[in-house]
Amino acid sequence: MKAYGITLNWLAAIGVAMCGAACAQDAAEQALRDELRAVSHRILFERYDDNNWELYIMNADGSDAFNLTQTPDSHELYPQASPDGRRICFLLDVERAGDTIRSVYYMNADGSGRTCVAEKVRQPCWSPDGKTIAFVKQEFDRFKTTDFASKRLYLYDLESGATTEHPNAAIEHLYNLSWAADGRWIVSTVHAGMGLSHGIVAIEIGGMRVVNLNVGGCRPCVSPDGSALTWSTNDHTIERASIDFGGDEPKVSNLADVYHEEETHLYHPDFSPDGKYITFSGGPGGRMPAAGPGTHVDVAEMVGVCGVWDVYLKRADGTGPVIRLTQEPRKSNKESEWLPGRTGDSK
Amino acid sequence: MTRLAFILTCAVTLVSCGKPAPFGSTHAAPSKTQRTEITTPSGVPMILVPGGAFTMGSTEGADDEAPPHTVSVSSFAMDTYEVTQDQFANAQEPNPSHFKGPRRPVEQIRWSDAALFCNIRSRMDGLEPCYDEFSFECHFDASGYRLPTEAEWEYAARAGADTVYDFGNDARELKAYACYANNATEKTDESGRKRPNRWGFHDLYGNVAEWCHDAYSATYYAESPETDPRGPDEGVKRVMRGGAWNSGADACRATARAAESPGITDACFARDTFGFRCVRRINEDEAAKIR
Repeated sequence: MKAYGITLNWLAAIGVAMCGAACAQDAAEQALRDELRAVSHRILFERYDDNNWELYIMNADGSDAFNLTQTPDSHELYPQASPDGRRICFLLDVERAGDTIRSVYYMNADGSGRTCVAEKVRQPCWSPDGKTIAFVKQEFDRFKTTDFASKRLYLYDLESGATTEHPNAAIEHLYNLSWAADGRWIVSTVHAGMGLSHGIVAIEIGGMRVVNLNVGGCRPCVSPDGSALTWSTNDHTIERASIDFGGDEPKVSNLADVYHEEETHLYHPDFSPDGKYITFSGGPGGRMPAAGPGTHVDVAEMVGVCGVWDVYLKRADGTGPVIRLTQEPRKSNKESEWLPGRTGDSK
Repeated sequence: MTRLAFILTCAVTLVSCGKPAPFGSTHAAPSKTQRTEITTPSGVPMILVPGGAFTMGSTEGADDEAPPHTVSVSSFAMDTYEVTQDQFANAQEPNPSHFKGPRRPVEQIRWSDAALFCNIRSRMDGLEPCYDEFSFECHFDASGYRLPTEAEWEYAARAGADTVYDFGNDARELKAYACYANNATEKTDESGRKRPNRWGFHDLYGNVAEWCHDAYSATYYAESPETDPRGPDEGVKRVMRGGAWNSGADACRATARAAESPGITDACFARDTFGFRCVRRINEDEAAKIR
């Protein structure tokens, strides 16, 4: 009886401890959501729903998500917000003659004023002054979902509508471009290109230099103030580091894990405009089937592949809980991108 | 008279094959003079390999190479060279290779992408693809290309011999046949720069390690079927064979086994030592050529 009583006491203690930990976790998540309610910046993401990719906008705490694009006949993906929050560039996929035609477009942040930048291109990003969109061409005429199937680097001037080719003809196999705040460098993943097997590089905009940042992984994002870098070190880790663009060449230091989860694939990190938070996509790994129009068979982190993924948020310093922002399960919610709030915006 | 005929028959066999019959064979292995090379519609040279029996494995290597066991393989066609980067360019496939060059082998390729390329090549040549592109189940009866089974790979690498390498046991001779740690310049070599093996295959030893179709099991040889083994039903890793440009001579042995994650779930996964070559079953016309 005594032994039985001790066992019950132990079980009760363990139960209280477990409940305590869970309650503390819940409280921490609630505190973070409360904190996010006061944030004026919003979050763009792509969602596959009802046989269609659309761009959505939600509040920083994940509330009030709405369909920005509402185009059942075309697929909008990979949103990128201009640094002033006035415009969004994105990818648009349409089917033509049995092939996917992927184009870069931009529009106003309210969804109006769509303008085509170029066809058979991918991976757009904004210059820090919002006047230029950088992008890469797809490597071959036929469409491939493969992220690194790209060649050269192009700069589109919004005012003139002119596109110029970067003078470095050796540029190939870039993906996930992020333009640094000083305007001199674009940070990107490279796979099997320019003599590198795989890694993250800085491409000099006004010159020919390609600098290996010597950090393993992919899909980098430079913080809006240009002081930090976040990326996926592997399938399961979001990492951050300090980055210094002030010298002759960019240098990365102070690497630290932001979030690691062995059971989930984690990709597409993006800094909030104030650098305090990082959003990212997460979901099951492995090849996904073609789940409907506009989707392709490939691993879920590729653009245009539909997996049961969601958008998550964590503080950029790695502290506190991770919270799931997208509230509708069983849909593909990926490629989150912070849309800066503008002066006068209110919640 | 009968005794004289027997002696003469043995002498002719040794002269025509130029080598002793492989230990444990149930048929005579194809000789160098019997080699039949074809060129596929997309321009890839392949060698038609008559089926036969051979002793797979060894007692003198790692534990997973034992026990040696008799295996029969059906006739098949196998790429003369490792899949090269110009083949990817012709197919409009992004080239994942670190060491660029049209005649260099494709590397940094995951098992799953190698299997997918087999399907792409099948479609280019009007053949029925072997792999289901979601489950990666292989339809061995399909007419298209696939990765070699481990048994097919070793059969081709041994080329009828039962020595450590098809050319003999002396690793010092390997430099003539393989780009490997002792002679590589920190990268792959162009395909076909080294001497072929006795059946005409280049670079089975070294250059890039080659994905095989089979899932890997260290104990598979103890339970493997005798005819056309295709590997265990399940396995986390897939078999790689032949060693690479950075491998020692031991890893390039005909019986040496290695295994790696196929990278099906990891898009970033890649090493510049991983490549492949394709095989397919042969058609009736081709079977007649090697009969």
